[in-house]
Amino acid sequence: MGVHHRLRMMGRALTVAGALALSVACFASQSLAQTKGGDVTVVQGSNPPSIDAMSTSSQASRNITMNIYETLYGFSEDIKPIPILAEDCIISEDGLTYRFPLRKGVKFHNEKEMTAKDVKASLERYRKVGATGNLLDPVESIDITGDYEVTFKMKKATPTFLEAFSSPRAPAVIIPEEDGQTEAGKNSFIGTGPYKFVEYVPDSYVKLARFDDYTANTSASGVDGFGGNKIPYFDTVTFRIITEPGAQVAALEAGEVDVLEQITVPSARRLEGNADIQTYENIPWAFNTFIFNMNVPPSDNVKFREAVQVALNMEEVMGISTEGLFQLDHGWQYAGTTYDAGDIGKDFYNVADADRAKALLAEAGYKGEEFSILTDGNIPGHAKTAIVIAEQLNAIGIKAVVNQVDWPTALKIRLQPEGWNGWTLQMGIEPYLGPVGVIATLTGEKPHFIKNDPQLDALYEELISGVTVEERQATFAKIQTRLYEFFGIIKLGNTGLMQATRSKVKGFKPFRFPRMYNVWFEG
Amino acid sequence: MVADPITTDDTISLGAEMAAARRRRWRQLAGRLLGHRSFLFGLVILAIFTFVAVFADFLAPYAPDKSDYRSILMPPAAGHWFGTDAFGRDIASRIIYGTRVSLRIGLIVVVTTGILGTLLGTLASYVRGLDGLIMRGLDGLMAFPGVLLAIALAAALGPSEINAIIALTVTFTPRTARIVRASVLVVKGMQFIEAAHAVGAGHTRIIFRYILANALSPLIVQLTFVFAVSIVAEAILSFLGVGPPPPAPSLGNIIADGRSYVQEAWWIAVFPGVAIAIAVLSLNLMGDGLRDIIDPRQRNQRDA
Repeated sequence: MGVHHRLRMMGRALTVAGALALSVACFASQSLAQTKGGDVTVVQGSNPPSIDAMSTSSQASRNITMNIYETLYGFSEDIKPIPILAEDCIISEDGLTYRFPLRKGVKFHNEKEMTAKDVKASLERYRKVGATGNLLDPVESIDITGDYEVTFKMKKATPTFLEAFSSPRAPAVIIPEEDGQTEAGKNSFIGTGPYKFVEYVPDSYVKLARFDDYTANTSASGVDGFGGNKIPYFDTVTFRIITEPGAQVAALEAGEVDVLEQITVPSARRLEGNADIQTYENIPWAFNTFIFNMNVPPSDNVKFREAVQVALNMEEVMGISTEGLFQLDHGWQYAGTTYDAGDIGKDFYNVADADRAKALLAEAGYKGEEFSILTDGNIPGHAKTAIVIAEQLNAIGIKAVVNQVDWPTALKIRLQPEGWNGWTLQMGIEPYLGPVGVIATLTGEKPHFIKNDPQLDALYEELISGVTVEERQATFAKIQTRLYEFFGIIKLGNTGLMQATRSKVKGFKPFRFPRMYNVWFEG
Repeated sequence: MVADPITTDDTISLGAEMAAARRRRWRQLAGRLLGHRSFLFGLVILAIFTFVAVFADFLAPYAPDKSDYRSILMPPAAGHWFGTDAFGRDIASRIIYGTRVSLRIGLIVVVTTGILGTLLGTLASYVRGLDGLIMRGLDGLMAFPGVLLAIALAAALGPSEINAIIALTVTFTPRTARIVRASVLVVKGMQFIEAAHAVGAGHTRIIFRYILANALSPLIVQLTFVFAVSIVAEAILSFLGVGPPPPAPSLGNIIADGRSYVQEAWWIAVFPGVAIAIAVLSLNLMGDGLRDIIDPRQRNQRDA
């Protein structure tokens, strides 16, 4: 990938004539520049809740841990499962056994070689402490079938298993056997990745150092999604925690830090002319959504929820909450991806029809009850989304109030059956994982709506047991139809993520986390 | 009110003459205050702020919460004198409404602090047994740096206007009570109080008619400072997200909104900041003037 990407970047700047010759020349000089060394500082806004990758689904953790740990399987750049620590996955015809031959000679940060024992211990631990441990529910047993091979016996054929198993949400990373019995967060932070853990000082930084004995997957040509041929160049990588966006930008401009995991759009626009700084647009990055508590009035009434849906002006909500970096999109999968369900539900999207909304409110028998919108001041865009929605709902006569708390408190309150009506949530990783990732959060034991929609739950079961892609596509179309029937959740649009680096940082390519391997300092 | 034992001792009724003398003194006081340049200056500015706060509905060119995504982060220009914020809301209108919120909070805190401080200070100094109990309790509160205590309280109570008022009242009451106690102790020892006791005046009458009336001057001066500090403290609370919750415009909230855009949109934070500075300056000038005129002793002490 690295070569291709660089060629593409060069190509943009060059005229068509002579581009090839020049690119080859530039490529030669650039590869010389890929020297080891340097201490890079990456900035993010919040503390990682844990460095134990499997026990958390937090983006703040993933940013760091995916440079430390690796999984058997992970997603490629185009979101297909590819082997990373495994060599392959051989699925039996009946779909009941998955055989994973492992790459040989892969070393942990403690210099021990990874074997089938470590894999089994890691996955057994994942069942217990994994933040999405239930993705191993279809697995009856994990058997060691060779020094470098594990085999999963399945309870029943689960066509979507490998995709789910490759999920980076709370990644099923491989750790040494000795850590297999440790509680969540209590492992020794040893993995097989290109950087090893050095130190975590909460509210300050997490420091990693290059793992010189990293066993790269040389069969791949370059970095590919979460896998590929990874080469660590930096001596150390420091993830510094700076909460204030303004302070982050100031530090980048002063050259004190090298990479901003996220930068506000106005700041990025301002820095576009700055030769020392390179900005990156990562879009689509997340779904911006608005979730109803279907357990309490007035949001327990489907007509009320429909009124909110048709009252909203999505363009305004998205324009303000994202500071201008957004896509208007009604779909519950990104346009152009495998499960994109087309125009279903589009009639209800970005309607901003006050009269229709008022008629629906009357039909719902709404009598001015308070509609409490839960939001937080930590995740950029959440509070703004809530405030604009409240303003728009007030305009049609809904008594909307904003309850802004901090993010951990919001996560607690939204699990309570009462005390909130609407909740702003950006789904970052779930839509990336495909339809199962999104719908899993809306169904099952603890759906975001508090109260289940039985039809949606049934459709989810149908989705995960669909044998072929076509079957699952058909099911997903039904799911999108259903989502626009009971209005438990409103899709507001797609958000983007702006990132920035110092110009001397080369090879950086925006992704689901800042990959600090195959990235180097120029000169 | 000037401490003057003879005039307040109306147990010997002087009737109409007394009333006339009192009016004369008020006129003299008003004349001296208006002749005091910095007091007058402060008063005029405060009057303007009050006018703006009261008539916000007529003065503000836009509704304070009216967002407009087509005019996000617009610099100051004809349509928006002070520019717009990240919601496209008019900063001038938000400052106008924010002034209302800030002054309202400041005023309520002054009233509650004044009442509570007077009550506690008087009780402590007048009722001997309560002195240690009340003052040690207040000392405990004063052990915390003022703003820190307010932040802790507001954070514990949750962000709302009422909770901000409660937090600020709890923070400023001990200082007020201490000042009241000190001046009540001075007055209490004076001969005319003894005389009042001697002629059989009740405690209520003694406290309200004789003691408090003569101990008020330092309290009034203190309360102007409480007003000023409350406005700043409210801004601090809002800035930290524990004041009135968004989208309510308070001067501190607006600055907090502008925090992320200081480089790209300086006008969001600068204009409300200037408004706070001017409001606080005017209150301080008034406080200084009041102190100079009605409580000259305190000035001498401070200057010494």
